[in-house]
Amino acid sequence: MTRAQKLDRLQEIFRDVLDQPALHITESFSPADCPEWDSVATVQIVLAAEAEFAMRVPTATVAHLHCVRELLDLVP
Amino acid sequence: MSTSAGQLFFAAALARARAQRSAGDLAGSLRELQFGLDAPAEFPSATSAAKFLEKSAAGGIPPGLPVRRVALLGAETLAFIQPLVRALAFRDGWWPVFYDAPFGAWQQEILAPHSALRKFQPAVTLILRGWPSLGPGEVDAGQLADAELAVARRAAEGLGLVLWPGYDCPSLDPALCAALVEVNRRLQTSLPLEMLWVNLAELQVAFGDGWEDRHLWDAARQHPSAAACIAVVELWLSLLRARWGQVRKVLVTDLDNVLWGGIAGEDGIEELRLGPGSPTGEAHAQFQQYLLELKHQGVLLAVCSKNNDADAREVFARRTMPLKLGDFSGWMVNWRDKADNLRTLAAKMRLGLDSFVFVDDQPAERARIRQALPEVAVPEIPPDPAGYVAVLQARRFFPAGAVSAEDRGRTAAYLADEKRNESCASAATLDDFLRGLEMVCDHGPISDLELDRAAQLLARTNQWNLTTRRHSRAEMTRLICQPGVLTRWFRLRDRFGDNGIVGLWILMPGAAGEWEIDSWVISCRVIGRGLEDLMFNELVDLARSAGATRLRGVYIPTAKNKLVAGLLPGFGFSAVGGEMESGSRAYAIELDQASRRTHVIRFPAGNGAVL
Repeated sequence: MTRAQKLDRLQEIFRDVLDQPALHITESFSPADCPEWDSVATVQIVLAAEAEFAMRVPTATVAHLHCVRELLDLVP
Repeated sequence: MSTSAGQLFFAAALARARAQRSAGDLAGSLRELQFGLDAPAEFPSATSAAKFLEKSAAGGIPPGLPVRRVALLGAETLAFIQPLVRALAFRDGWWPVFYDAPFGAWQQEILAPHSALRKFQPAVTLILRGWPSLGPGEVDAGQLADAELAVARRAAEGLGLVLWPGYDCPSLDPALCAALVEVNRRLQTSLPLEMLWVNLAELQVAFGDGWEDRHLWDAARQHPSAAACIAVVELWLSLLRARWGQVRKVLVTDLDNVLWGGIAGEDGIEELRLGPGSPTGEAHAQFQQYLLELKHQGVLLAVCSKNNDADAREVFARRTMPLKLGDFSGWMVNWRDKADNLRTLAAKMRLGLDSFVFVDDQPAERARIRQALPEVAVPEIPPDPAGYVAVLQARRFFPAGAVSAEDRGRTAAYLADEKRNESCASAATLDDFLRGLEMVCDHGPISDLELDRAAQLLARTNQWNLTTRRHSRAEMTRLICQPGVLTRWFRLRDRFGDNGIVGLWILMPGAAGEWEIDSWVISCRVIGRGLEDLMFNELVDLARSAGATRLRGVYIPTAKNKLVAGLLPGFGFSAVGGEMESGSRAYAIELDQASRRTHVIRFPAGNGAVL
């Protein structure tokens, strides 16, 4: 899977969790760009990504996820 | 996202809902979402549904949904569980208005007389509190239980229906676990009676692996795990449904690829996969076994299948399996539309379609019933029959409360009903028919022996129910011990069978000789037999011998009890005051002016009215 493909799949997750069907995300997309991206949404995103990519995100990252790139870097 | 069949089903429904919302059809979009929520609830789908709902409701609460004020309290964050309550309550057809508690301070909020929580005046109070909230250090079971009970006693007033949780158990700390088992025991036995006990430890055991999620706790102070939260919310909602009388009573099942693998009319009876010998055969046999257990709990089973009737019956005759033809109270095997068949079944069984659960392996049949009969519950079952039981269990359609003798005998009672109806068709007049039934009625004060059945009648009876007061078993226990309170159960037998205890009333003493009918219910199985006349005569006699001179009664209307709107005036009561704001009407009658009602029900020899 290329990085772009991974980003596409992450985008689907973000669209779903944030309920924004037309959302377009970049690697630098962050909570500052979207008021609905709160701490609960972060955990939802992480849980969804863990299921989608069969991976485990470190606790420290869940507690402080600053942008999409940090999550993307973890995708196997 | 996750790719289980249920999640794909939900995702497709959510996509349709979004499209309809964008097109301006809010009602249509909510209907689609509701269909989607028939998929087994999972954390991602339920949170997505909640987000969709919050956004849709930004302009106002969706019309037509009953609104209930819900206080969700907890020792830790509730941000994860609240959306689950939002989504699954919507699936169940109601809309919670939440009180946002500052987390951590829930006990103080209960104790403070003028707290924001108390000003909110919740109808329902839900509490989530797991063992991690105890923090480090040793726990003294006695002290912890005392402290909890002190808070619980204060919570019993002014917070609506309170669901009080037990503690779950830490898997890695046997000493703490033992202490919490003791705390649970004390709580369960000493909680105020009007509260509902939420047995979290039992739920944890049934849930199995994955109850705890250390990772989620460390990152977000969330316990138990996301998946376990779904199980907690399903338990809460099932307790509320039972309390509100929204109980499912009938499971309607398809035959081919549900009760057995393969198609009876095509594959040949001996070729059907059922029982040992094939993995799917095992799964179908397990499903049958589960249905049989439901039947023993008092759930009525019915078949609705597109098949030749003779083919279907032959399978039961020739194959060995857990279920027998006699286990079914309804049988609709034909080639007609299934929605029509369900309507016919409901009419025959004299039960509302909202007490039906429909199980079918064909997605098209499920979609048909959802569209045509939205009041029927249609769980989205997975393609693999091995998953059927788990999906039905997770939804908790059928409360696994106490099983009464009436439950075990219910199928027999419905079969006897069929015979009664046949003889009804041949009798010349209704009176001839009723006489021909040779009805005999026992009755007596409600004691420990009848408590389970009495609580169940109060919980499940919707139509012939004067006040629809849903006293729990615990409240009934208290009522029957209260001096002065008169209660009576009524059991009706006839030449076709024993209907069991099918009616009760509760009479409360009042000032100056005026007594009040607190509750009066008759099971829908025996409506139209004149039992109410007999019950009224007993009401008058017993009230009089207890010293009453006047009897007061209130009709509290619900969506379903129109049947008894005119009952009290019909018995000679006069209206007292006008209609109340709630639509309720109060009536009263002087006992010396009450006339005796006639009926054709006999008392058995030796059963006088015992006080």
